Amino acid sequence: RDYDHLFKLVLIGDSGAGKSCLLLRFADDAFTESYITTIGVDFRFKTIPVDKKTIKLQIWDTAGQERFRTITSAYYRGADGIILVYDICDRESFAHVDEWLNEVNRYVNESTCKILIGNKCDMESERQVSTEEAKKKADDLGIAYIECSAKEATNVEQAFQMMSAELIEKRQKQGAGGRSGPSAGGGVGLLQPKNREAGKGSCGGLGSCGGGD
Amino acid sequence: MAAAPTNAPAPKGTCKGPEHEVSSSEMSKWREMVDIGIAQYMRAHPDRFHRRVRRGIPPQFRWQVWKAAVRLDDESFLSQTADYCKLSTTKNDWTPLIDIDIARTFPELKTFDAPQQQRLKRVLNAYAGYNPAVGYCQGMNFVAGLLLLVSENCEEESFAVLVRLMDHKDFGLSGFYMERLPLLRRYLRACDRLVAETVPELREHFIRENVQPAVYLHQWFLTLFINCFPLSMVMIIWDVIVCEARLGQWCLTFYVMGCQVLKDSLLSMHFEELNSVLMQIGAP
Repeated sequence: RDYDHLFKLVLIGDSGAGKSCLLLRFADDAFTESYITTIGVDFRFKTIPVDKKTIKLQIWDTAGQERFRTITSAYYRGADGIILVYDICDRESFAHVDEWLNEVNRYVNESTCKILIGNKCDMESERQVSTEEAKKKADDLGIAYIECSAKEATNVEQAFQMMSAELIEKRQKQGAGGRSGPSAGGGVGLLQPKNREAGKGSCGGLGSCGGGD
Repeated sequence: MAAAPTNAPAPKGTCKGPEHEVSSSEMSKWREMVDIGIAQYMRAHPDRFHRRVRRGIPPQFRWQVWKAAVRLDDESFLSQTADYCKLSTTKNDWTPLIDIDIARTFPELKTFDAPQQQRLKRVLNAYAGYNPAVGYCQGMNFVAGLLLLVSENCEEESFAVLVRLMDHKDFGLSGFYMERLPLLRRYLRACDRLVAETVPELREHFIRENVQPAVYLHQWFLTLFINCFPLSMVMIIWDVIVCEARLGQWCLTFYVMGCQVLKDSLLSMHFEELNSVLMQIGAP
């Protein structure tokens, strides 16, 4: 095989937050103002180098409308990482972050890596959610936060790098300590506070990494 | 509608790809049906009518035939949808979601310009207000958008046909879009069972490779193929769906046929390739 690790990531968040545009920027380094509505899912592979390792990412882009949550369990199954996207110019989409996490936690292992992305940070004049507020929210939730612009290619690569680095670290720990069942990490919840070192730390779970491997 | 000359080009905006060629003998048959009245012809010669539909309706007659097929001439029905003006402009719970999607519907089509997007917004808003139990669900934007393309921007008629397709028992599209998506789930289960019966080795292969075909079928079914095939092909599929009103049968047939035709290739593929191929089938 042509990679060291394979990770399944899932993009979630409100309709119009820019999930598909983030994926297009990351996978093809492109941007379009006229993206088509995502119905159901879209799906991409991308291989990137992280810490001298070759990482293959399998990234699922999901429809954002609330009504689709009834069928999305199929997408979350076996996810190693969840990328939760909101639009910094749309407070509503930020207000739904908790709902999204609750939803996703019904299907993934609690130790699945999660990251919060504030997208459209190029539109500073229309910002409705401050960086500080979003950071605080992410800290409270025990997950990493980064602001991106799919349009201007700001931090998009970094967000995926950050998540990959965390996942590698986690998988290596697993490898070193022997495999533990999902129940071993039971109780290590989402709300557990974590150190906020750059690029790592949001995956505090001790259990195995979902069904991704 | 006045009869168009035999070699008239397709009306603008109805199609992005080349439409199927309509022979002059075929054209004269359609012109004869139009002269008699499509609705009457359908009733008098249903078999012949359906045979002709399956060969594709000439673009210039398409809207007229669709309207007749969904029985838009029903007076009592038309009075129900008469307050389009008010419904289309009154804000409802769904208006913000509709706003997000209007620029994301047929963005690659030149004819789907800003005025067309506003028409789409009004049609969808009117439907959400007319039937709040269904409201708006992504996927409906493509259905309403297609109706606007075929009707050549006639909002009121597009709205009335949309209501008919969504809510009339012969079509029942609203089952795809209402809360919990009941019809979609039913079709997905039926697809799974049919594949288990007809190509069981493929179903086992999907399970072994951890591939979930249901994920790709959402797109097919929720846009009724509009988002999945070239528009010229979509038109012919829709001619049959609208005129024969056997939605379920068509959805299932397409999937199972696809599985049968592609069986050998799909069986030789593994996870990554399988996903890419299935995804591409749903995104031309």
